[in-house]
Amino acid sequence: MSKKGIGVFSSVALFLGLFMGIAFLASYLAVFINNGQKNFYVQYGSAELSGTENLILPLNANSIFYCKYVVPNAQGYNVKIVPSEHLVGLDFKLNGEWNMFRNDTDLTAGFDLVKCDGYFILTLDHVGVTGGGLYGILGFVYGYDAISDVPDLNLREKAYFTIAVTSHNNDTAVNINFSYGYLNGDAL
Amino acid sequence: MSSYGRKRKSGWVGAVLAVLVVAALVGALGWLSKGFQDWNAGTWFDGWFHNEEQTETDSSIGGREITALSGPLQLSSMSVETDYDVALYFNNNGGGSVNYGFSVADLSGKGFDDLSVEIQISGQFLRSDNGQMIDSYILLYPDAYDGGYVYSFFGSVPKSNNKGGYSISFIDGNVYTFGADITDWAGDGEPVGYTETLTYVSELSLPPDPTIPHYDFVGWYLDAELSVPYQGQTITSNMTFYAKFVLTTYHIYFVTGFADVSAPAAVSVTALTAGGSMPSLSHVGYTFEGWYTDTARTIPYSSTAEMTGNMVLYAKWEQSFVTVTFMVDGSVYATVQVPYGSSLSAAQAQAGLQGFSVISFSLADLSAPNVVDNVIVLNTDATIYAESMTPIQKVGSVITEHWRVLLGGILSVAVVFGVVSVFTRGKRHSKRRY
Repeated sequence: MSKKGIGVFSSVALFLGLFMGIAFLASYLAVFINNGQKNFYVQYGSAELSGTENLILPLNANSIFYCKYVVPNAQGYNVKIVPSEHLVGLDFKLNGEWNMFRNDTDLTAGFDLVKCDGYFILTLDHVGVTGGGLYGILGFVYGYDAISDVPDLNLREKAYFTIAVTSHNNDTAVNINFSYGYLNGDAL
Repeated sequence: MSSYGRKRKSGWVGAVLAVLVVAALVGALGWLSKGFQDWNAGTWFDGWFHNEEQTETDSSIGGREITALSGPLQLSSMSVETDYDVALYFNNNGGGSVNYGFSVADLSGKGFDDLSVEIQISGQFLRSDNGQMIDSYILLYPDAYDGGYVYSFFGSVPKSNNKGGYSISFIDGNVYTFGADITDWAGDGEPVGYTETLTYVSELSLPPDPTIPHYDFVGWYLDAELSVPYQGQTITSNMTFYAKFVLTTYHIYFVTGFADVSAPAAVSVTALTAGGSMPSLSHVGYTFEGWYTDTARTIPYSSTAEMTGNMVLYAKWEQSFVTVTFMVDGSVYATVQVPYGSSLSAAQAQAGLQGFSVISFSLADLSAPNVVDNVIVLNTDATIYAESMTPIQKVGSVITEHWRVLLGGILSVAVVFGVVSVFTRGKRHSKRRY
């Protein structure tokens, strides 16, 4: 190869390398900034959720929540469904004893939640609306024979539940308060 | 040599020749006097005897007196229905072999069935005193006799003081085998003209099993109704056998084409009847299209076709598809057909929605989402709700999904750049030096 040829080749290689490096860093930075400078976030559709969010989830649909890290190779997350601030403080009888909803009461078993690597699917069916509402959900959690005096709540009115998502090391938490919506595609 | 000597010698030779001529004449006379039997030097045929002691020369065989030894031996009956008598003893008192002849005749007039085709005498034997069997040749020729047939055979007795007997087999359309059972061998008071009973010594030898296409031969039966099977009984009379057949049973075997789909048990079908309908199969993600008779699944099985042999049926499958509708911002963006079991992301790619983020999906049968190996699998018609990602999200999505490839590319370029730089610098330095 001639001296001139080597020079051209090295210039092109340098240009490409710099360009790709800059592009990579720029996009990486953009994503990071767009995420509110938080490493862990939850993507729901085009919305990137962090901190505390409020959603109306469709009925009879499988809502997908992607748990992402700005740092690509980070993995893992924790998810559970707990009472939201609207439900905390209310009480019901469990095995004959009064029991109060607290913000750490795990109600995950009352929902169809499928946890996968990088995302989870929450399916809201009619149980929450016509199948007994909160009673139906608690029935799944504790057993119907064990509960009584459950508050009669309209789960469409308020976001009584919270999807509590945390990063794998629990450093970052995303709380998604949700209420029951309508069939997907229908007007909410 | 003197003339005297020559005269003496010629006289001696003449005397020898004279003796030989006399002996030849005596032999010829003896041979002529004995009629039927051949004569061998040093052997004299003393006649036929009907007892072992060879004292009774007034033979009567089968109740018929033999009047001429050279004549045919007539049996009282040659029918298989009746025992018949034969007797033949002879004695060779000479030191050499003697030929003998013997004939059997069918006086029933019926003849032996198909004897014109073949007659075979087997087991014919000559027995010496020491019990040794002696081979002899047999000459056969059928000849008309009294409306029946005469069969003659001849043998040779090479030793003296031999006794003879025989067994014969007649092979015609059926096979009947007879043998001589010489009784009253010692002549213990039986009347003159004793008889020997020719007994049945062998069962019927059945022909090879007959074959008819698509039928199985069951066996021979003794009645036309095929209710009485022949079970190897001794044949004592003319008999008719009836072959019994049943239709062959064929089998239909199945090949499903899927290791996790068990093949139905083989079906038994009577030959020349229709196989009928075959079991249906099911397999997740596929539609059973029916059974085919070839591995290429081009010739469908006919349930009305007559079975003419064993058969292998191959299941034909068609892959099932599900309809996936993509909704974006409340409107139908695309509707695609994807194979049953496709991943949601595959359906999304087929619909051209790579730049969209799925927010939720509804399954037509309201079933729970099916996740296999961390991938959402579509086993039923589905509606997918998606939102368009922002440009930054798209870039981020690409980086997130392909960050390893991107990083590798950048590093590769950097390495190439570094190597080229070092190389070119080295060149410059060396040029300056010189």
